[in-house]
Parts: sequence; structure tokens; C-alpha cells
Amino acid sequence: MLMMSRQRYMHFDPDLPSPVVLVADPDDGVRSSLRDSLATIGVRVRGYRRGADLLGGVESQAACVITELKLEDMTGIELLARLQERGLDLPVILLASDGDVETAVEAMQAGALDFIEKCNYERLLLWHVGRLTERGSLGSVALQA
Amino acid sequence: MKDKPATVFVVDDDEAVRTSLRLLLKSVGLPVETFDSATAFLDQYDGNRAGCLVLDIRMPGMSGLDLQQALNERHSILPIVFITGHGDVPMAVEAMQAGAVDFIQKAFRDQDLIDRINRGLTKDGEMRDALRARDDIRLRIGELTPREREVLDLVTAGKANKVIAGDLNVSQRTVEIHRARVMEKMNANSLAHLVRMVIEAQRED
Repeated sequence: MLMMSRQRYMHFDPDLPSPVVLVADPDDGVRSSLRDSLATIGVRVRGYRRGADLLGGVESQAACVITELKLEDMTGIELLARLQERGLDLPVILLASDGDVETAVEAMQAGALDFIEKCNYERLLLWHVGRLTERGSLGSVALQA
Repeated sequence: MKDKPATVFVVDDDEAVRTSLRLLLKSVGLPVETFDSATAFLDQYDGNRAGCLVLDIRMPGMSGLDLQQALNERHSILPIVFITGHGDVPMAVEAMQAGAVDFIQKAFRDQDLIDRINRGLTKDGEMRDALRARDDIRLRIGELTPREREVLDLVTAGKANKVIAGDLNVSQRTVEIHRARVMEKMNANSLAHLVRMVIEAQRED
């Protein structure tokens, strides 16, 4: 498990256009908390309640997709497959409020970048998205295995 | 020399598990070798041997994840199927991110494990075929003369014969002859094919 011993995500140029992360989660609270935490590294969130909504608004310039495992209209793994079918090579991070080992392995085999249980996910997400958008300076974030 | 057949390598510190896996895998006709520790496997495994590694994640001393890392550092392509008594999600994800083909919890059904091992063996075969094909291309490139090699580089960089002739200070006709020889020696049916081969030969992974 990656842990960040210190949290310093700054050092980005506020004049550059903000990278966008697409989030699919039925829970308004989760979307808004992601919006707040990713804003700290200068990343904008475009939130969707359902998988189909995200697919309707998807753009290849997005930095990544963050999706809850259990969406109302499909699973996060199905959403990943749909994106791949369209030839969209976006990194996909799955968030699981209720995940198990079997599902995690299935998601990783399907090509997910990570599979994170919702309990305490915020730091890992910031690390991933910071890295994908080059906004979290790895040099300032010590990682421990 | 004939290569040894693809083998299932089982690494588990629990003798009962080793024995039952050996019996299970033999019963379906898969060659199997067992090891009681990660270090025993590392000491004895010849990286060129084909197969699939069935690896316990929790072992005293060097863990399964440690062994995976050591193999990755040696650029091993041997697929790994992890087995674990009590795995959790972060552990499974870490193993998969590090390149494991599968991760299965003990109390699995025999057939389920066999299916996963077979998928690992298939993947191993495909990767070894791809590596052999790449070695073959590199060998053919190595057999080109220095001048043919220059022509290969320029042709695959997209330069026209006329430009190459200027670069090498030879006649266009000479370039055409070299180019024909390169295509022949590389066994390329088209320029696109030749470019694909050069890209493949340059891949490092």
C-alpha cells in the first residue's frame, strides 16, 4: 500500500489549463469530496452519477477516470471495458465501497490502474492523479511501501 | 538441444500444499517441480525455462512478493499465479500491478486453479514466441553489411532513395541495390513490414 509521509502537492503553474478527471459515482458526497481534494493539486473534476453519463461526456484529453465499482447502470469494470472498446486509452482507477480480492484481481486483469477500497482512499488518489497530470511533485512526496 | 517442456513451478513453505499441488498438477499431465522457499527457487531456476510459477504470498524469510520483485529485476517473463491463505485487496492489487497474471485465495476449486495455471502457461508460450521472433530479427539485422545497415536505418527513417544516395554519397542505383539486398536478407515483403521489424528489434521490454 502506498503511503505518503508528507502531503505537499503544490508546485504547479496556476496559469496552465487545469487537467480534468472524470468521476463516476452515484454518491454526491463522494463526487464533491473528490472535487475538493483534487482541486488541491489543481485538477478539475467532471462528475457523473451513472456510467452511461460518463460515456456520453467522455473526452480523450481527460487525465484519467475514477469510478465506483458499483454504479447504478453498470459496474466500474464494465465501464472500463466500454472505454477500451471505444479505443480510449484512459487510465481507470476503481473505487470500491464494497470490494473483495476476486473483484480486485478481475479489475486489474481487465487493465485498471488501481483498485482502491473507499476506506482511506484520498491519499492514493491524489498520488495517482498528481502523477498522471504531473502536478503532484513526486520529489516532494516520499513514498513508502 | 531440445528445450524442457513448460513446467509448473510451485513455491510454498507448506509441505502439505506442495504435495497436494504436485498430485493435482500431475493428474492433469502438467510437469511440476516444487520448492520449499523463495530462495531455493531463485537458486535453482534457470531463467530460460518455460512455464508458470505458482507462488505462495506469505512465507517466512523471502515472501512471494519479494520473489516477484527479484524476478522482475532479472527481467524474468515467467508468469506468476499467486496463492494465498488470507489475502486482502491492497495485497492483491500490489501483486497484480507488479505483473502477476493471477491471484487466488486458498480454498479454491482444483479446476479453477488449473484453469488459471493454463492461462499462465499460454501467456508464457506467447511471450517466448514473441521474444524468439525478436531475436530472429536482431540476428538478421546483425548479418547485414555495415553499408546495408546504414541503408536500413535511412530507409526506415522514411528517406527516399535519392536522399539516401546524397547522404551516403553514392549513386541512386547503388542505393537501390543495397535496398533490395536489405529487403531480401530481412525477409521483408514491404517497407511497412521492414519498419515494423526494426521497431520490434528495438523494443527492450
